[in-house]
Amino acid sequence: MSILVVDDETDIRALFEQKFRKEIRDKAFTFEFAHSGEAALELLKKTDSNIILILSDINMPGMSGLELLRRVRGIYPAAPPKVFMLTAYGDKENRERANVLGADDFLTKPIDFSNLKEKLHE
Amino acid sequence: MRYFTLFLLLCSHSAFAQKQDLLHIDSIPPQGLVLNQGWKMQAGDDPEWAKTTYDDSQWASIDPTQDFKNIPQLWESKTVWFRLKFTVDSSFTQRALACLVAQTGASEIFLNGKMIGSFGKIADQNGKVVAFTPRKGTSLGLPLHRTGVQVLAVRFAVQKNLPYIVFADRRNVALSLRLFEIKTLGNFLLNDLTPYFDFSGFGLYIILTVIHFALFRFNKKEKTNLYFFLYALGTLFSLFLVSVVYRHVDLASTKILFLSSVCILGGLSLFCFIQATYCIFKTPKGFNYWFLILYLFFSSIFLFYNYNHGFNLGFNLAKLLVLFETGRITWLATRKKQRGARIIFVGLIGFLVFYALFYLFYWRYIPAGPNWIWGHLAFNFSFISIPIAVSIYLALESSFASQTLVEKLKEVELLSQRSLAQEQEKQEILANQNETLERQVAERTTELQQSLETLQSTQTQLVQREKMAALGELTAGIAHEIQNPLNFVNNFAEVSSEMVDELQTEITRGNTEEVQSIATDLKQNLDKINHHGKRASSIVKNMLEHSRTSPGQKTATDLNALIDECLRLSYHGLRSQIKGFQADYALQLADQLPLVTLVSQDMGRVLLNLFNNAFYAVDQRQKLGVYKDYLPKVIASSKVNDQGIEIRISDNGTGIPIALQDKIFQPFFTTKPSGEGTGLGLSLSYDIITKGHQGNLRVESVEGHGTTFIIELPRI
Repeated sequence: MSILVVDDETDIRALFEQKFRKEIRDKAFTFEFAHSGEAALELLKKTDSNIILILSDINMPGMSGLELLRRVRGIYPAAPPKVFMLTAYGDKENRERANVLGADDFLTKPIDFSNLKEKLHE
Repeated sequence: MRYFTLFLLLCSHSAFAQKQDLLHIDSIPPQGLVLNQGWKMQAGDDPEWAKTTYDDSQWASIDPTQDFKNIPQLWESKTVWFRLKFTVDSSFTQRALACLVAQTGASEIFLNGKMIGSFGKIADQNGKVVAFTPRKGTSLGLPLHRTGVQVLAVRFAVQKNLPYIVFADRRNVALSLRLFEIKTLGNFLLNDLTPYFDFSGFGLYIILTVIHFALFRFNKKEKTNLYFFLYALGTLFSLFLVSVVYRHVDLASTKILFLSSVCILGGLSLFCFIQATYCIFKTPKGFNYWFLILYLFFSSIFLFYNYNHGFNLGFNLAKLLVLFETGRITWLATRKKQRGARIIFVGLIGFLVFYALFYLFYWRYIPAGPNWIWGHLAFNFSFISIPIAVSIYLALESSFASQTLVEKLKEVELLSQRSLAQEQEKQEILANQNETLERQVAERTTELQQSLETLQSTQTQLVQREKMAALGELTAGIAHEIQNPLNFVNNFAEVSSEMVDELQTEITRGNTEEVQSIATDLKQNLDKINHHGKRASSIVKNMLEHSRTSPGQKTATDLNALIDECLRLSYHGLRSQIKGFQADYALQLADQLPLVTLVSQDMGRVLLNLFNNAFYAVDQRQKLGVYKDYLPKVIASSKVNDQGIEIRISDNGTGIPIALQDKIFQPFFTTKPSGEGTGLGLSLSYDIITKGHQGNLRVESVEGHGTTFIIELPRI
């Protein structure tokens, strides 16, 4: 199972690799990282069969996370992959828009990894 | 006229008894006996013809009292002789007799062969005839023979070179001798009332002259008084001249000159009279007027043109025409009920009545009373009735004008008092207004001063508010920017904590390799925590710098980093502020941009403002919703050129209309809805770039396509 993390912050990769080092080592999950919406779509096209979950930031230069969600749902009308929106903006409007566009969950930063792990295991 | 009338009247009483060619006088009436019968006449000259013994039976009979123009012999020969033989009652030889002499020519009078008088000068062979018209009352004593036939012989000649005129129907008698007893002659002369009436006329016309002159002086605009004054003056002179002529002038030439002057003066007086009449009623001058004026000016010619009718044509007719025109005008004025017309009309009626009476006396239809007094009165009343009426009218008019003047004067005084009162009131009002104005000016000045201070204060506050507004816009961006590093700090700290637990476990297990790996990661995490901590610290520091009010110091600044930071802050700030805001942005920064010496917080404020505007513009365009494939985008670029450093901030937003492009740098100008913009952002930015950094800030924009702001900084 592969999880695609989309965020313009490059350090997100180090954080996930350390936080899920056991899962990575045990090969429970594999993580793919993209630093923009466009890069995520490219990556998705290459490894679409393995990615079961997309964790995407909303506020990114260029294509936003919500736009990425809209496009993903354009390609895949239903999960897989699931799409979790991940953002510092927990406002109601973004949440509603994400729901309308077909997001499966909405997580706020800072990331509550225990909660995330539970959801991943689910 | 009067004299002639008297003459006619006297002629009516005859005391003659004529037997064959001999006249017998048996009585002499009190008014005298005109010797107009029994005369013989012979042309030529012979001293013998004066003698009593000369037989004149062959001579032609003649009445010498007729007009001398009717006796042709007078004009055909140099000299003629008149002879009268008469007898008197014996009683007359006891009485002193005399003759009143009237003549037109020169005469030498002989009684019974002796010359008893001469009047004028009969020409000798080399001389000329000097005609005499003896003054009134000129008498000649008649020393009669005690008995028998008395012979009066008159040597007579006319002065032919004079322009004789018939003045006022007074015939120029050749020779008239009126016989009186001396004792009655004095009474006759004293009973002549003519001087009294003459002097009455003088007095009246002097009064009229003075009054109308005074009235004219009083009111020079009223020309009627001037004309009437001249009329009265002319008439006065005429009366005076006539009186002088008949009482004091013997010389015929002088008399003719005077009487001609009287006629001309009379014409001028009539002219003044008709002028006065036209003035009184303000009658328009038409044909009648001009005809009359022409007639009056040329009428004097008739005097010398026609001996018999010259006076009637030249003066009487003119007078009648003037009276007729006066009557016509007065009648018209009466019908129009013009003031004064009735008075003058009554004067005219008076004239007609008295003039008619005069002629009734003149023609002896009714007796004229003793000494012809009623005739005198009728003539004088007719003569003065119109002038008196006109004078009464003018006096009344003057009185009316005077009354009106008094009333007007009162009105003027009243108005003056009112005007004065109003003027004082105005002055008071003006003074009050001035005082009020000065007070208001002082108040306004104070208010303006306060307003200026308030304005300056407000301006300072606005500038600060603009900063704070920009800061407000930043807050959300800053929050996001701080949130991210803080999240990393938290997450890496949390992970590190877990890894320390794992490290301890692995140490216990003695798994050195794993311990090494965890330690490396821990080290990496600590670096990350340190990095993101510093990152957050830097953001806070920048925020503090931005809000600082004191002028900052110029320092060497990495402009690209500043552009990057501001772009991101602006973007995130707007995202937090504007719901659903989404835009692309890109940085096209020069690779080797040198450090630029500038006040970084000021430059940051400019960049933030420009980025905010750019994102706002693209958001606005997107909200229009008319562009289907519209992708909002903001691009920031920097480059180095010959002049210095150029920063371009471009957007594909709504653009700025050309008309507004000159205004956008003006203070308080904003296109944003009320409450969204202070209108100071671009103005402050412009000042920071141009005054603070000696650079330039300009705009290039196409409405509906986008805007590019260009910052040009000198290379320092």
